[in-house]
Amino acid sequence: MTEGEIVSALAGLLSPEQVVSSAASMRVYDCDAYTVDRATPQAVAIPESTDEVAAIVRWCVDHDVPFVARGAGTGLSGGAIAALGGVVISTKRMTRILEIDAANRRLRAQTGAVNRSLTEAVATHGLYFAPDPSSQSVSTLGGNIGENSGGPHTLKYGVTAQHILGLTMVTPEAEIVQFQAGSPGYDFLGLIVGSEGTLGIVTEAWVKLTPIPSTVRTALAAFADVREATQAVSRIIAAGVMPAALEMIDKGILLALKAAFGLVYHPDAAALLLIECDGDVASVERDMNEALAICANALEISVAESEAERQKMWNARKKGVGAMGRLAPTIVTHDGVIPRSKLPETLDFIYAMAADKGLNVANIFHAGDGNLHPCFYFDDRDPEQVRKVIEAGSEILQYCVALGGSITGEHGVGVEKIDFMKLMFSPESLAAQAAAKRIFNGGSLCNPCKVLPDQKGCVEHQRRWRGAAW
Amino acid sequence: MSISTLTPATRKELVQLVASATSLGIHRSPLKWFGRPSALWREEGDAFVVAALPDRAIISFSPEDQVVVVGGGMRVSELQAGLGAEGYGLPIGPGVPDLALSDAIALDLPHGLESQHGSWRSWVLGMTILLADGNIVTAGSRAVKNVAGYDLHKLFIGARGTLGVLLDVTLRVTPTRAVAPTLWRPTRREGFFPTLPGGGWIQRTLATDFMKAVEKAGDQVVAIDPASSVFWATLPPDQDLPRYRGDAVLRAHSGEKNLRIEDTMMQKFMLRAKAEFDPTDKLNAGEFF
Repeated sequence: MTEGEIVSALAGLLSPEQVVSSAASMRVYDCDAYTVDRATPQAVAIPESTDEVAAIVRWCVDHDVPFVARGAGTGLSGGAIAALGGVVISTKRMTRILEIDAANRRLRAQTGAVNRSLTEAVATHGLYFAPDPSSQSVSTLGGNIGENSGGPHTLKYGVTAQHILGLTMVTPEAEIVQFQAGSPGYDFLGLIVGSEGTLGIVTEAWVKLTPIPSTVRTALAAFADVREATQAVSRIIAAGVMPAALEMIDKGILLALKAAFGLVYHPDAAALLLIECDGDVASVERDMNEALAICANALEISVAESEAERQKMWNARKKGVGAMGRLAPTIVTHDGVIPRSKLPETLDFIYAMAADKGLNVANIFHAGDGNLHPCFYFDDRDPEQVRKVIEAGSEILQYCVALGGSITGEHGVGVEKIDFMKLMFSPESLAAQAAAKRIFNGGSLCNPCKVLPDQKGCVEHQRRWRGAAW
Repeated sequence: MSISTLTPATRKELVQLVASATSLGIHRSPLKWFGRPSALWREEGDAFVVAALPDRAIISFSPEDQVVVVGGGMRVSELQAGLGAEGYGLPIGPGVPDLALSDAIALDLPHGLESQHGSWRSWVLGMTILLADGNIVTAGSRAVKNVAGYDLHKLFIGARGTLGVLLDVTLRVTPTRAVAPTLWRPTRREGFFPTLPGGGWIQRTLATDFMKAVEKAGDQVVAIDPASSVFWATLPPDQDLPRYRGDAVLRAHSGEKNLRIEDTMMQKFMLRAKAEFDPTDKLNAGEFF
């Protein structure tokens, strides 16, 4: 099927301005925020409704053309790339909030709606949408559902899956189906959230809204030594304190923040620990006092006295990754997870391994969940550095799995980590996952080459990237 | 009509039992499995019943990670006592009858702290599952956050044992001090548990329909949880209570007394799931379908 045939057919289903195919536009859609792997689609369709999505999928199925859904393209594992070409179905015009049911603390929206817009829509009711990935000012509800996104407040409030009450999906066979959380029968909703767009295209969702907590307290503890900070995290969790967020950044990030934004927190700090507690006044006071007592060996502890001070503390966390652009042309961020008590030794391992390979690494991560984000910064024009960075990533993920952890906590498998699935799961366990996939997607058109290894007809994208680099 | 009770002593025996069963069950009687016997979920008629799973204890508990791995045959009360001694627990409140953990999960049993702490799927981090073909597979991990691959374990929560046998379950636990107060309460003088085995109807409604639904159910209501908008009622299997937009109903008991899935689209995908995981209909035949 030629590009021209696809474009004119889609233009007939939608309207001509809802189909994009110029070479310049296609470059925008050839990757997501995981930029090391690319694949160019033949056309981009921009539907406005569930029915239009179903019409596009029906056409793709009838003509054997692959398709993949795409929100804001902020994914970090290549989940939204058109691995085998075909049609990208963009949700960027599906941004409507369809129903606000404040009495039942729920809201229904199209999945192209930006995460933060949900919270903005219900703020006057004293409610908000709790999942808060760092990308929340641009990333979409659909992307959050596809990746089962986390964020700093996952520690207390849980990941996206816990906040989706129902969804409408166009299946890979172009049927429109609806699933509701907690209804009798198999939990298909639970299977679909986090399936990276491989089981269908979710077009609408009912989301759970959470009351805005009456009290929020935020503190920043500066440690002279990374191990002291990681030990404090493990002790806070072990003490049964339940902070809303427990985030850590290390010296590499602090240097980047200074270079990029002139932000300086403590001149001698090797690590900062951000602690946030929320809820009713009494429990917030109790939890915060206990957490800070555990941090008694810190160089300095500051507690935010105003919203402006709180924002400055969060800037360290939220601007950290962006600031790293100052340090090197390329950054690769990993996403391994370990049981939380293993943080101190795991960070030791990462630093020692990076030093051994002569690599630069900085860490900015969800410490309370044990969700690591080691960021390697390097020059990708040097094949030797690329090789070492890939090797380092592989060693970190093997270390996480050996401790009973995971190869990804929130960024997804996509094409990036497809080879690592065999590290974590036996052939029988992967076969069971493939069986679960076939319940909805027995073909190879709906977002092919993602999540599960050894799919028929797929070029292994990571292998291709390695080939190019070596 | 007879029920033969089987109690495999080891995982290996259980694997052999499941692997050797056929679509006709064992000696032409269906193979059913429960984690442990209970009044709430029982078998009637002809069947070979695995009435107790071989793993009945905590396999590992790491308080510093707030994660526990538990054999599917351990009773929830025993688990709560074990965790409680260390200052932890599952945030389920009082509204859960004393089933085996695998049964509570297989039924996705509502509990008295749902609105405050979520349902079973919020805390099940992973599972070891015996599939109908005799293969043992793992799903999830021991980390509290994990998006590697499909959340296979969620398919088994609320599946009433029709897709596989839950050998062990990895759970996130909650510090006792962080467990919210419950609003769950029995509404009958004789209490909740003595009345429930008479026939269980558990209905979750939207908050705005809850008071109306409870009023309509009248004397049959045995417990309510206004925070989660869930009520429990005793109801003969051939009777229904009024339904409301966006509600959900679970019925206790197995087999014929169970609620049928009426939504045709849901039925279609459930049949596909069953065909993938248990194509010869070996496990807990009679549930759902």
